[in-house]
Amino acid sequence: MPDFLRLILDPLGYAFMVRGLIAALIVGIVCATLGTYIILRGMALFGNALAHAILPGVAVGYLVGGNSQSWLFAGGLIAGIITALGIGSISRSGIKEDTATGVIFVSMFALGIALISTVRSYTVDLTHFLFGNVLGVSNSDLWLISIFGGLVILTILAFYKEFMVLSFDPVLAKTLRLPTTFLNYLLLLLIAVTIVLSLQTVGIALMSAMLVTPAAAAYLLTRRLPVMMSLSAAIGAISAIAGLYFSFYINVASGPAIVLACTFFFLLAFIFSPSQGLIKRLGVM
Amino acid sequence: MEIVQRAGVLAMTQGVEHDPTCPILELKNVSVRFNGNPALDNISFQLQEGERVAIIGPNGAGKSTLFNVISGVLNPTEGKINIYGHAPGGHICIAYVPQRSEVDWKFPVNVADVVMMGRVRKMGLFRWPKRKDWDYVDEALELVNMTHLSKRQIGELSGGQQQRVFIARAVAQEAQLMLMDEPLTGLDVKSQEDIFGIFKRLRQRQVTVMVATHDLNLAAERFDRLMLLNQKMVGFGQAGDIFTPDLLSQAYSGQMRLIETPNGTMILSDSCCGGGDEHTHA
Repeated sequence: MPDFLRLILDPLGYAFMVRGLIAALIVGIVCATLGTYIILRGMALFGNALAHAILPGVAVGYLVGGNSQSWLFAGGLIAGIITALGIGSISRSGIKEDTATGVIFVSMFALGIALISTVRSYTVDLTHFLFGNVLGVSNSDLWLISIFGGLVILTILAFYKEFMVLSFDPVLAKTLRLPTTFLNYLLLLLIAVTIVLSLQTVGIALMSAMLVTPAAAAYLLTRRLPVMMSLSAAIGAISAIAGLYFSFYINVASGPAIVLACTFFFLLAFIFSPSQGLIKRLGVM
Repeated sequence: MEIVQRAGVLAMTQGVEHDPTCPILELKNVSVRFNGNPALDNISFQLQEGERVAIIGPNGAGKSTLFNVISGVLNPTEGKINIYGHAPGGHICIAYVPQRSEVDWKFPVNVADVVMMGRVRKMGLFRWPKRKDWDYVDEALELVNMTHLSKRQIGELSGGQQQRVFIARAVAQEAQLMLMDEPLTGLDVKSQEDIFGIFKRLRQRQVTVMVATHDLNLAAERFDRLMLLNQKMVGFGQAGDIFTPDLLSQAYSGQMRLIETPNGTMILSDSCCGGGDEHTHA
């Protein structure tokens, strides 16, 4: 067998590695697809804040159910939805959205750490929440990730043109009498679900990179939305797999490895994009 | 309200039915106040089908607020708005053509994508564009002479072309009332003439057009009626009736000067966006 083929096939001999790869692949695709709307609407900070704000929910799930993923998942999802709707309604009250986001984000994060710290020897689990533990994904976790990931992608496709209008021109959305409030909250809900299903793969602290970086790279490479979305998903998928292989061979943590792979592709696009890359802009070529 | 709106989207794709015996647009004693401060004060008027109206007035006169209440984006504090006999909220026949500075020109869409956005409601939820929708888009692009640029990224267009894309979107929306915010600002004479050519074609389709503008010359020469606005309706009529020293000084009090000369009254005004305007009124 040729060497490079063995490099690729060897890790697949471990069941935990196969499960991790599938989970990372789904998370990479879902985050990157949704990320297209997140960067077009300038919600990168919001995504980061929401990721941190699910920690108290995860913490409650952890206190109740230990390391059972469905408890963590349920807790995180409830906290994510409450926070998303909370930020949505506070910013409608006239306080600036970034202020509302800032207030809620740190308070929730602090609450989460406070809750988790009541458990003795909590540091390992906290590290997993913060930076991910994709190699610990079980079969039932994989089901959760696949079902919710599939739902997010289906919803994005189903409301594709409505989300596009809402992102490009909110006033048009209103004069076309599209249900703008419903669509705005639906998008927040999708972000919350995506963050929770990505929790095990990249963790809270690294989440916003998965949401933003592949889409940002795709944005530099195309000027059509469907192409941008597909490219972003492809970059997310490749980064997830490449990151996990790196983590296997070089023995670095999987979450950071995936994020750094995304960053690598972003830098490639930033430098070499045929229309907007650094080389083109500096007129080197 | 929101639930009604949502159910409405699922149930129908056509908006409220029009009563053809009613005027296309009628405002009765409409006032808008933000935190008690008046933005519009007791505005009443009617428009006829196919009319072309210019809205003029100083900055902060309430032109954008007027557009917002007519399009149903904003509810008036007092008064009533009727479009073919119904409140604006249910209509999808009203199009707002944004000022070019309000648009994200780096958004990843091309000309045809933007025009197709006008069809989104008519297509309905969970549906993709059909042949009929593409026909509307093609026809709208033809009406504004943009067919050859339909695949162009919107950021790569000239100012006049950008303006025409958004008018085409309103056409594809099958709008019967178009509200345009400063569509002529910053365009060269040739591009302005292109827009007026489009206005002519819109009139043949009985489309009513309201244009907010700072260019008093164009307002006087190229529109059926002029609305002089400064929170109140200072005047509404043809240019000769509106460009009187009395009405103009009411509207532009701080921003205009009347000078008596042997040849008549000279009115000097300066407004932000259209550049300086100068008119002689004999």
